Amino acid sequence: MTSASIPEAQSAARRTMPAVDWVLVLALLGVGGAMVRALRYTPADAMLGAVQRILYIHVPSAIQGMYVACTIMAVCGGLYLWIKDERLDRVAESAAEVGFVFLTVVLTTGAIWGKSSWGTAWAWEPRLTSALFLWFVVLSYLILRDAIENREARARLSAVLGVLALLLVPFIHMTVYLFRGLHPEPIALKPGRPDMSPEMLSTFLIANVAFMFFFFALVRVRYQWASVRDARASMEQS
Amino acid sequence: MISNVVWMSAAQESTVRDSTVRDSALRDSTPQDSSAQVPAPAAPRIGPPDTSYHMKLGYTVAGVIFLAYIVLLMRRVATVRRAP
Repeated sequence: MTSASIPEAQSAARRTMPAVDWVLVLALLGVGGAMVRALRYTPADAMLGAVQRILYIHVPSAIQGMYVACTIMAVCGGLYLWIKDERLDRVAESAAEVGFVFLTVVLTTGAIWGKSSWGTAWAWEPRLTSALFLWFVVLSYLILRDAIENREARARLSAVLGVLALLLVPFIHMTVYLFRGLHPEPIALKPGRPDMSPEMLSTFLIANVAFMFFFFALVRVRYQWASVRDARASMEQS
Repeated sequence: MISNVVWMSAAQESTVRDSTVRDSALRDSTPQDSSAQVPAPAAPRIGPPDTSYHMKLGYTVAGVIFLAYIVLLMRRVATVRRAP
């Protein structure tokens, strides 16, 4: 990098990545509002008690971490293999990392809910085991990316793994129908009306919108960071 | 209970019958002291169980995970902004 290009690169990085990301701040406020509604203004379940309110974190995190993140990871990875645009690779990488965080929340909140409702934090039953397997696949995707120096090879190999990871998602969704286990059947992502009271349903929908906004705000920041990182790496190579 | 009766021998049945007769005679002859009676069992709890501990734990753990990732992301951004 020449001495003249250093301030330019620095100012470009600052323009791309402001110190305070207002989209992320708004998303956090949205999630906070949804959680206040869930904890203060939504009735507790008559059978399970207050712990049922974990639903408003557990299910939206599962929808974002499993369905949305894995779909983005696979579709952008597949498109990268076709048109070789680095931006697609960065979107896939960002969705995978943020999705991994959401999947971690799904597994931990599920274990806490299970401890209260089933008497055990973990059971080797189909839904839990397959969700843990997906968590390991996404973790391998991130480790693989970290291990390969060459950018083209990294993007190509991780795209293949990303496409394969998506194949697990329908299987995980169907486990509650195909096998007998502890995990209940879906209450929202199923044919017919969700099995919830109107207050619970509205809180559930608000939480889903808030978590979706939060997910994309995190992916946005992660993508911007990856763009600056790659731009710097290109400048250092040239 | 029915299966217990079925498996009782004739001698056991006679013992049970005798002790029942003895107990009822004793109960009729002894004055009842109401002050020493065992207090009535508490009424069964109505409503959902108290699972607020696990609810708070779940929300706290999820908050810590999300916060840790946001801090990691902000540190990366700060590093990129500072770097020449």
